[in-house]
Amino acid sequence: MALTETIEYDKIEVVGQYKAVQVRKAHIVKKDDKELTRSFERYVLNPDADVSKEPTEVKAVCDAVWTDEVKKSWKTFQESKSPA
Amino acid sequence: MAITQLKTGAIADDAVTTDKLANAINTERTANTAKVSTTINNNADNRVITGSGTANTLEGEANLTYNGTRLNVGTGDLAVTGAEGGDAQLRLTADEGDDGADYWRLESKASDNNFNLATYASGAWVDKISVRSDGEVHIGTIEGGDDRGAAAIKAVNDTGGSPISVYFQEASGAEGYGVGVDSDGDLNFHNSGSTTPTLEVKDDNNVAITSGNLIIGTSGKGIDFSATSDASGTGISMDNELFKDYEEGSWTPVIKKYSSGSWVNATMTTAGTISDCYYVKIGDIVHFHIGWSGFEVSDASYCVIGGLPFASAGRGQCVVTYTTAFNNHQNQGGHISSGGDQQIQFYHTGNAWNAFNNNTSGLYIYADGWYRAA
Repeated sequence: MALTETIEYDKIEVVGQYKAVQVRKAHIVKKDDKELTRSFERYVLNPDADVSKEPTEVKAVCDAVWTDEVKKSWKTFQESKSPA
Repeated sequence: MAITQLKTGAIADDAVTTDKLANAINTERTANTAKVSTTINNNADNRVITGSGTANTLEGEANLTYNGTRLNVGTGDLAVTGAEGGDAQLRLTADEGDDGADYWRLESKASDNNFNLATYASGAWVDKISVRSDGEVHIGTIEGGDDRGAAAIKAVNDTGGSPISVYFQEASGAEGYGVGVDSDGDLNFHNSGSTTPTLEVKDDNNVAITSGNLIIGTSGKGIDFSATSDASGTGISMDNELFKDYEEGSWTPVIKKYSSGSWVNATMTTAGTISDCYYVKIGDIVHFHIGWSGFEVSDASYCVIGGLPFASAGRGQCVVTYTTAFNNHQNQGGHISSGGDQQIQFYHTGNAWNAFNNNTSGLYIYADGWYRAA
């Protein structure tokens, strides 16, 4: 009867005009390979995010969708939201 | 002098010719000579002998043999034909028929032209399988006769008492599912040997999942409520009636600052304790809670909290219920701005930016809000 806890990035979604990468991190507890619980933690990465410490599969999606054009578009959007 | 007795030993061979015998003796002798001259055509071992239609001639049947344990029809068929108005039946009896429960009968029934497989029990023949003349197949005794579909199967209680009509088993035999109708009229699905159904289609047309979840396996699919009446009134427009998402989980708030044209994370002197930052997404609407205490920030430029769990489609609100984090108006609302980001901006009177109490230890904030996900 071994309890194990694993983390799985079970949803990596690309959302919206600025290709926000929406990540769902699942915490999975299993007993003898049978899943007991699965809880979720969410975060969103925008095209100016530092993804160097993200898991490989998340980074791969970011690299694929954040083209220079998308990054430029996001920057312009951010500047338009200048609080000044 | 008449001879009254003559010993046969005293008569020499050929001393008496047949014309000297009485006519009756001659007639009988001639008939006996004809009886012993029967011919069997095609005779061979195990062949069943049949008549030929010709006097004194029989046929050995090459395609009908019996070897002492098996009667074999080699070519053609075996026909059992009932009399006019009578049934045609073939009976199979195991164990020499000494216990009455080992009789099986194949029957073509004259009264309804059904083909029945019956067993003998409690003094009567009971049909176990009936192929109806209209093509329906009944397994068990189906009440109501015909019009029960192509195949009608009566449930039989398994060892656990579950009424099962059909049991489906996968190739290895390790997994299976039983389906049957119970006395309430519910269609039940039993997982392997479970006596409690996991799914019920109720007699009242409701569906009950008694064990397990309803899993929508395709993103974007869900429960369609389009049969319900829609909102009405001038200027009201119904967009969608498909309930296609529910999710709950946690998220991590971060204090943002504006730097060189973008929003980045502010510097936290003390990260503090995030105790209850959860979200519940129902359809497209995200409800969230912030419970964050004991933190200190050093360089927040504006009052902005980011890190919301879903990208925003724009517009939403956050109500602060308890905080020491702001410079102005501690208990006030936050605003989730236009689509494309995931942050809450806090303003105070006259839409002026609020600000965090930089370099103050032990800050806390408790708030709730909602917004529409992109």
